[in-house]
Amino acid sequence: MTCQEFKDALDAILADVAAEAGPARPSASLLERAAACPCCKRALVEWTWLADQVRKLDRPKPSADFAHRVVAELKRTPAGSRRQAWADASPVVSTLGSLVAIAASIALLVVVWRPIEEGASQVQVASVEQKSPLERPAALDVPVRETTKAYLALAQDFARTVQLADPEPTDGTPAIEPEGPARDSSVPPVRSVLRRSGASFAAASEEIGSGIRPIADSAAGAFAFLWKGR
Amino acid sequence: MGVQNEERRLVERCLEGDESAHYEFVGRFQGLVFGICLRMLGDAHEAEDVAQEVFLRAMRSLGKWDRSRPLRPWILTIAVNRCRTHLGRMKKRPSLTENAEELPDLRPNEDDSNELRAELSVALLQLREDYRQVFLLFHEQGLSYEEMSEATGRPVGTLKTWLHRARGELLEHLRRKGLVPETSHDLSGV
Repeated sequence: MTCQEFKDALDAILADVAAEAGPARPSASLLERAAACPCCKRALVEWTWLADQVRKLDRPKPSADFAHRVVAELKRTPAGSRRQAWADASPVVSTLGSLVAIAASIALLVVVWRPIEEGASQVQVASVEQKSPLERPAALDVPVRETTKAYLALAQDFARTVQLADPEPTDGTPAIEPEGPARDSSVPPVRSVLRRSGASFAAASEEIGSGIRPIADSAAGAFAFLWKGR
Repeated sequence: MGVQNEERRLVERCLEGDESAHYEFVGRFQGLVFGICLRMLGDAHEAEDVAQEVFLRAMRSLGKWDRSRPLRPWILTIAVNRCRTHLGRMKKRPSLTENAEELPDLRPNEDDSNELRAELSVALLQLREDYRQVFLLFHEQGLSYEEMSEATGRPVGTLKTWLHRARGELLEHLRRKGLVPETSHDLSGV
């Protein structure tokens, strides 16, 4: 008998000891073989001793009212009760809950994303509107006209401001030219065009070959000039 | 066979809603269930809570019990599973038994056998959960390897290995404490 076979046989004995199936003792042949092997003998003695000690351990008992508590709890939540049904179904419910939460998150993303997308397209439109009025597409004609009116109002305000704050000197000294890019000498000054012909901004724009905004800017100066010459 | 018939009748009465059968059922198995819970968890209050849970689960699932099999291993299976679940939860909390060796020994002086029992209980709690479970089912509850395999869902070979290691670790613990008697070559005492 090898050590392993011995241990297997010993397991059976220890199981009897543990199950209190009587004074389980190794058979004579087992003892004889164990005596020939120090390893087996040691195992036999120690393991049998250990099993005996475990058997001698106190058998713990719960508190005296344990059975009452269990039966009371059983009565309180009998099988099939709503609470019990909930406890049984809780894994399914939690799975469904997770799915609903995921679906709600997706829906929320869609709801939030759509306005963001629309907002982005509005920003694109706004950026188109901020371009030079003449560069705007025909579809944006109405807003352009409104912008032009605003420019004109601004120009009038500017003209008044210039007239009040910076009157052209009358003592023969040259007027101070406003700072800005150098004017192309081939382009006739807007104020003279406007004064000469009483042309509209559009006509002046065509004649000068410039956009409406520069014309409006120039108109400020023209107004100032006209105001002064009044 | 008589025991099994008796158990079958008891279960039938429980299923019929007989309250006295409920009391009888709990009284019959409470030592077994509480014992394994206490040895596995190491705390009487927690063991009682888990034992109560085991009984509630068992009594609500009596209809699923295979009547051709003994009732005891079936209940032990539920107890072992509940203990494992509880231990899993406890691992998330700081354990009191982890530092048991670092704490000063405040126990009153005991005679050798009491000391041995106390040390054995401590050693059991220090075993790895799997080893402890197998050791208790085998040595304390007297389950066979097949029944243990069914209860734990592990192959018999694994259980034998765990049991062997559990014994070795327990003996080593007790040997360190000087509580294992010297082995003599005389086997007459065995």
